[in-house]
Amino acid sequence: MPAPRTILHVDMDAFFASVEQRDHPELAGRPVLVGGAGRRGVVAAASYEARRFGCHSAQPMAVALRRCPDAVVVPPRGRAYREASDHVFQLFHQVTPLVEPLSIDEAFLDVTGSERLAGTGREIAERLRAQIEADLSLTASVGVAPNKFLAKLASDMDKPDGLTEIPEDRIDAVLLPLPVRRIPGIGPSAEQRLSRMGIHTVADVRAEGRETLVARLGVHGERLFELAHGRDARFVVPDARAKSISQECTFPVDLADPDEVRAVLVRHVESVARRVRRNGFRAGVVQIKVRYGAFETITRSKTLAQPTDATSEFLGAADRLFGAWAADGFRPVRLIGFGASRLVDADAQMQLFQDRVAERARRLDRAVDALTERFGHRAIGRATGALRDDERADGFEHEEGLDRRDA
Amino acid sequence: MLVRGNFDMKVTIPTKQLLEGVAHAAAVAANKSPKPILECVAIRADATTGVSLEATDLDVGMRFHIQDARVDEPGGIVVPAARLLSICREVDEGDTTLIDADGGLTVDTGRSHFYVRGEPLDEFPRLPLFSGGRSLTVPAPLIQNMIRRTAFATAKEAGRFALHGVQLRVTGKDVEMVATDGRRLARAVGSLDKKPEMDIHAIIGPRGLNLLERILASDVTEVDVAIEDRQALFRAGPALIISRLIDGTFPSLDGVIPAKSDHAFTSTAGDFASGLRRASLLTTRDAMSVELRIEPSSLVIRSRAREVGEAKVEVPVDYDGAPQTVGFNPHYLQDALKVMEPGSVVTFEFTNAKSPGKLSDCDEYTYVVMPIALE
Repeated sequence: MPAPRTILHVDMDAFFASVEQRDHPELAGRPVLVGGAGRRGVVAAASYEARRFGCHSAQPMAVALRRCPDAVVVPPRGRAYREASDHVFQLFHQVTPLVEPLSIDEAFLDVTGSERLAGTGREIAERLRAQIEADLSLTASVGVAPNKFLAKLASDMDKPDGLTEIPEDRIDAVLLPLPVRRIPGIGPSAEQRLSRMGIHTVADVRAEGRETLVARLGVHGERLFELAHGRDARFVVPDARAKSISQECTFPVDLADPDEVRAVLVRHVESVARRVRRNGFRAGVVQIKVRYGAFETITRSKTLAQPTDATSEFLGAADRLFGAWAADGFRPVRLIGFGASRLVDADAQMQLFQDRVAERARRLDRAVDALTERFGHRAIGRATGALRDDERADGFEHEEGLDRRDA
Repeated sequence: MLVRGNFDMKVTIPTKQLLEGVAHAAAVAANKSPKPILECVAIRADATTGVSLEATDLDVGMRFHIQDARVDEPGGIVVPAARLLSICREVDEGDTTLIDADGGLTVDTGRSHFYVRGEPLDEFPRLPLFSGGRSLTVPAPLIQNMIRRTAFATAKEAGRFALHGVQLRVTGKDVEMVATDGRRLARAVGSLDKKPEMDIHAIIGPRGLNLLERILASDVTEVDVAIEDRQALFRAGPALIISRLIDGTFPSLDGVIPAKSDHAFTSTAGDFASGLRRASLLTTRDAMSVELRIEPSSLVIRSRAREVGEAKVEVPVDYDGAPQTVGFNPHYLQDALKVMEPGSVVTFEFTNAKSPGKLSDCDEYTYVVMPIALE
């Protein structure tokens, strides 16, 4: 039995929209949609007032406006969000060094063992929420639980501006009545499949034996069984100690255009490369992850000739892996991810041509990193990772709609 | 027999020659391509020109003429290269008969009969001919040796296009090939007997060159080289190799090859290579460096990999200066030592732990390696 842990999942409430409402007091209390107003614009974030009308992130703007014609559409300001995010993450790091970022506005914090100095998980969470509110006039919802899965579940139970704790002795009471789709990894098609097996709630999952689930669902069955018992052994891994750095996102609908998938992959590569460099690593192996169809997920990895931190080299490898998969028979994609592993401290191999190709690539990477730190991650990127024209007008991808999760 | 009815092509080829040609073709054909035709070998039989095999992945192409083929019926067909190669490897010695019938190829040899589905010839990309226009002729051993000594040093990682190829320059009678991945550089030079009509400056991918090098291993004395707008053509004995040129500018070599170093030791290629090989047993992919401690008459190579262990290997060398310590990736040094005769005397020149090292076994070959900063 592993030692009990205390994990916080902190999730900023309607982050972009809240920043807009804070900076434009006339928007307070009104339905706000952040995103491109163009014909093919996408909602990057919807304020809670707009959500009541059925608006949500990753929704086509036209649809959102049909549901809520009175909503105010605000173009995104990546820089403002980045600044707010940086500040929030600084507060996280004051709590614990074990901060695992999930996206610009969401993170896991491991506060195990802080009781004597900082109080219980709940007390730490309460102070953190108060600090965020005081410093930034923004609200965050926090879940406190013995593991990541339950902490994330908890933060979602009382949104916005909520604090929910799932202590050891409340796990069953919370978990058993939940529909299975609340378990990560259970999408609509898996839900249907389980439903045909007569499994609708977490309690139903528990009633099945591990063997039955594994026989029916393979490794997913194993994981489902564990989660249904509220067990999740994953650690909170800050980038600096990570064995791998990765990023992936799930699309609200399957993407049938390989180029569109590739564009998202490019953005993942850029972001992962930046994090590899920020932590002073090089990576020897890169991996892509593709989910398509019902449950099918493949990963393809490639060992690089030499550990590197160059975006261009990651990109070349990722592109070849994706191209090879697509050439084998492209199918509409639900999830695309990119990871870099076998991280080593940036090695000290010296270069023959200091001011030449590699150096130029390195300078480009450094310049992009600097711009990104200042202006947010959509400030600059490769053209191949560009959003469609109207999305680009947003200046920001619909991050809230993407289930960004670090492995 | 597997053949019934009419057929379009019938040739008989000594099995050994067929295997050689198909092996080269399979090396050229794409492994996995969105266009399956690029994974194929095309067989052409002509009453006057004989039988030739063609393969291309659009980057490198090859036409291989089979010396002793008998054409009973001209024609042609396209079949998967890997499949044909595995058949040719297994069939009996002697002669093999290839017949195009019913959209497939039958391969008959002694007691084995195969039928492989194929595609018509006109589906296959057209390979250029060697026009015989502006070209120059190079002795085969010269170019073969130069390829062997440089092509391995090309960049493997993506994104540094010019470094993915070997720079070939012919200036007057002088021939130079250079390849580098930015961390080490190999340069081979040679000279022609007489000044060719034109100079050459091109960057050529290593796949085409390595194929040429393999073909030159069998009794070929001369290679005709033509550089066109976007491709290099090499005519070597039975083969014509086409390699798409690599765009981009090769980095300037000015100042990259040290003209003079402060220290130098000599050893044999075999001793130095074996010392490095032993020491590198205790390196890991993540800690790929060895320390060279050069002392009078001995070189001590040390490696240390955290969580694995360490090694210390002594190599006899000729050196009479003050002790020096430098760090290198052992594989970079081994790569060059592998293309040298084990018994040959090699000179390793260096200045300090931050300057390039230079390895050489003759005036015609220079290999430069950048060091690794040791902790």
